[in-house]
Amino acid sequence: MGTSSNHARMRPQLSRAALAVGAAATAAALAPGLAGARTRAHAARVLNISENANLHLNNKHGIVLKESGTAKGTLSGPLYLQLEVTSTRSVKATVQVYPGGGSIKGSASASYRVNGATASFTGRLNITGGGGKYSKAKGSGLSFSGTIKRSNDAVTVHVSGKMSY
Amino acid sequence: MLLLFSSLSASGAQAAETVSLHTSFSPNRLGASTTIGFGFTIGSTTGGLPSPLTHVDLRMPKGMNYVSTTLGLSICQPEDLIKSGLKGCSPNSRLGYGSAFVEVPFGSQAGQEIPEIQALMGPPHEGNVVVLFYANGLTPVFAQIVFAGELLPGEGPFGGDLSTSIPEIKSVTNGPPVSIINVNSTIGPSHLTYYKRVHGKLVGYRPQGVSLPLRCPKGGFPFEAQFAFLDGSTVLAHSVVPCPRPAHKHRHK
Repeated sequence: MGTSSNHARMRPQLSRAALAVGAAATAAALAPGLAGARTRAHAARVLNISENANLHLNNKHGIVLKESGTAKGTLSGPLYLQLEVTSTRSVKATVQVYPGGGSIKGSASASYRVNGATASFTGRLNITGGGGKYSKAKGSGLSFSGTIKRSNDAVTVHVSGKMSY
Repeated sequence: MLLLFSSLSASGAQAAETVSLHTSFSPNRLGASTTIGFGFTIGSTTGGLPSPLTHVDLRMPKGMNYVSTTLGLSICQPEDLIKSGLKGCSPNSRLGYGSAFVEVPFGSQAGQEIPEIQALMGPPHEGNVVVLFYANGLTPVFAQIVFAGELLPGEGPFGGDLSTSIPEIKSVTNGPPVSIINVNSTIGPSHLTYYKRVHGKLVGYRPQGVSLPLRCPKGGFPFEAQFAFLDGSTVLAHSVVPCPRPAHKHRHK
């Protein structure tokens, strides 16, 4: 009886010891991984960008112009612009640029004015996301401006300001 | 389509103006470049001459592409138009054309036609497109008149508002102003030829007009116009361009 009662008393003590050893082993096993994750995390990088692009019309669907070309500047790469005419004086735009290693997406709203053969737009752009190394890209209130050659809808666009990623 | 409205005269039981507004798209095809036709006829409830028109706000439907049109690639300066007439401005500044019918407040009241009204792209005002109207009057309204309309952003179901002040058109020097009875005009590429240089030669082409939206609003494309008269009265008139019939689909047997 005594033995059995001793066994009964011993089992929980062993279990607690085993758990303690197991927990320590698990912690030790996970520790390098956690340390690695900590080293991979970094503060968001801030970039002052200034991009210019000459774009040509790909297609026109109703009040939407789709344009493409190549951005030149801090982030260079293919650039796609979609301009939507929202009134006689305003346009909305979405911009996607593909610099090396990822992509950046933004949306803009701008005032618009016609002056003979050219029209111009001026407004603000917000960076709404991205992919690859720019997957955490964000920024707000970047300068967004450009011109439209009305005879063939060729667009020049300029974006500048701070973004983080 | 045409709707008739009469004004509430500022002077109570006196004569009131009536206005019928008519509008059209040519062609009336969704997504297509079109020529906007608009016109109005002004009358009086007493049958006499209506008060001279002083201002028109023509409100046009939402969803139309007023921006990607290639109309008005050149700008016509009002001074050049006044000095030299149409010759003073590039053909690439023309936006449309029309005619008017006026009555002088004396004589036979048979009315006189102003056979030529041209609409041209003027210098922008505060960022808004400006349409210059050039009326070439013949006797007894022998005058070349230039007045401007400004394309303002629209509200509600309207995408644009062409706000135009009409100057007093004198029948004779120091005489009373004439009354406008009827105006018909277009804004669009119909009957317009623009020119561009191709390999050093001037080549004529038809500009791209304002494009219709891809969908027609329920009940058609609404237009509204507010007319103001010299006697202080105003009239609101409406017109609807019906939705085009759906494109005929060919069935393959």
